[in-house]
Amino acid sequence: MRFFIFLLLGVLFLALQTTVLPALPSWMGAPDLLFLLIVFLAIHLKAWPGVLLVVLFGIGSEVVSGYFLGLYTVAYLLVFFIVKGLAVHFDLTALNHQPPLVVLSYLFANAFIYLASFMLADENAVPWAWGAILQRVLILTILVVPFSRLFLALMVWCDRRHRTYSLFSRKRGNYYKARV
Amino acid sequence: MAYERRKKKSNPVKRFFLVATLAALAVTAVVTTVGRKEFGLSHRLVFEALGPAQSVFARATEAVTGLWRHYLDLVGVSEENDRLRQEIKRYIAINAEYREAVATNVRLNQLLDLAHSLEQPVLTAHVIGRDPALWFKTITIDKGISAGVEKGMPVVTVEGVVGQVINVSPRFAKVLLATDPNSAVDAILQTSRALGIIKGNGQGYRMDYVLREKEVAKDDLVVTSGMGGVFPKGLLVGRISEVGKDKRGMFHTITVQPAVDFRELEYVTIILKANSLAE
Repeated sequence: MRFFIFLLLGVLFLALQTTVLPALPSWMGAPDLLFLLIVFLAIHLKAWPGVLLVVLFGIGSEVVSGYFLGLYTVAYLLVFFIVKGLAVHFDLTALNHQPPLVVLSYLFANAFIYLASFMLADENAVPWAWGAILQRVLILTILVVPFSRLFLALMVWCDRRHRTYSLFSRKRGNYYKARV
Repeated sequence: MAYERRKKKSNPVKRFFLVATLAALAVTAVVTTVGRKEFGLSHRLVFEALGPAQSVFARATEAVTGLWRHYLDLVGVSEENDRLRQEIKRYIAINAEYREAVATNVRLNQLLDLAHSLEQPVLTAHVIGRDPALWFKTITIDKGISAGVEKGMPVVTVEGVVGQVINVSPRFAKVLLATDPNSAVDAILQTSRALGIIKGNGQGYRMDYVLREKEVAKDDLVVTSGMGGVFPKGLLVGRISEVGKDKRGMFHTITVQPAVDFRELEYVTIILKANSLAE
């Protein structure tokens, strides 16, 4: 249930980021909502479903953005495993830890994509744009807490629905029959 | 008994090998895609799945921005006459829809004129997505292999050169804009006939390899030379906005202002091959 809800949410974010958000005035930037979701999944989801979702989101990002394939998938997977590794030692579920975590991982992912594209075609490099990237980081910093709350609420709702369904399914058949 | 059977199934050694094999396959699959430019099966499937969602959102965005633009236009008029204000408000939505339809009609007519002026068959496509990244400039269009679109086909509008198709799936295609640093277009200066190559720099273009002995001036028009075999000859690329003052080196340092406003792209024309499916 969680898997499919987050998959749908990721597809929605990708569609929004390539259609609605670029139409906003430039001072609003283009918030990378999918990245917020990936960081959240790294903290809260188990490794396997998380990795599968991140790979799907990476492929999704590649088909709508960029020239070389594979960069987004690898960048997102690296972010996923680094955050997952950090989550073992630190309590990253606390909301006050989220803004610095998202800022650092966003800068890391962008630096990775930039450097990888530079290495694949060094004569075609576009200059690193500190202004634009800081604007996006600022927007993500503002959005991270409300969106984390939203994702958390969605996850709790999924778990509750899942529990209700499992209770129903347990009652099927002769529930009170003695088990041998 | 049932418990033993279940225990047998979840043999930890077997499970470890299964998970390790799957992980190795997944890592190999991901790593081997790095740096590739051709879409594989997974990319095509995801593109096909994402395309319809983008299409819906793109149309919704256009409708909303159209309404907003026309609403802003009419605010000044409504202030002139208080008596008509209520009526104007009532008609804003309808009016905006009509204006949008007329604007679309005009644009499509212009594209049709462009189609008549080109020798090759052409196809009009709707822009349904834009690249959200800072480092790349691409768009997604709603025509793919089934409409005869192929990798490498040039994409233009009435204003000029837009870019080139880089990836295709059955119903959608990705276009590398001419402003992307990975794009290169063979071009010529209209007045001095100096040849060069237009390269994207993220925002606009720079024109490389124009010999210093050639006369170059601000506001000179840059058109496609037709030499690369991709773009037909004579399509407008842009206008020279700056010529570098550096006297060293063999070539001029030229900055070119694109003829196309890439932020306003809604419809584009794909120039097909003579034997294309859509002909």
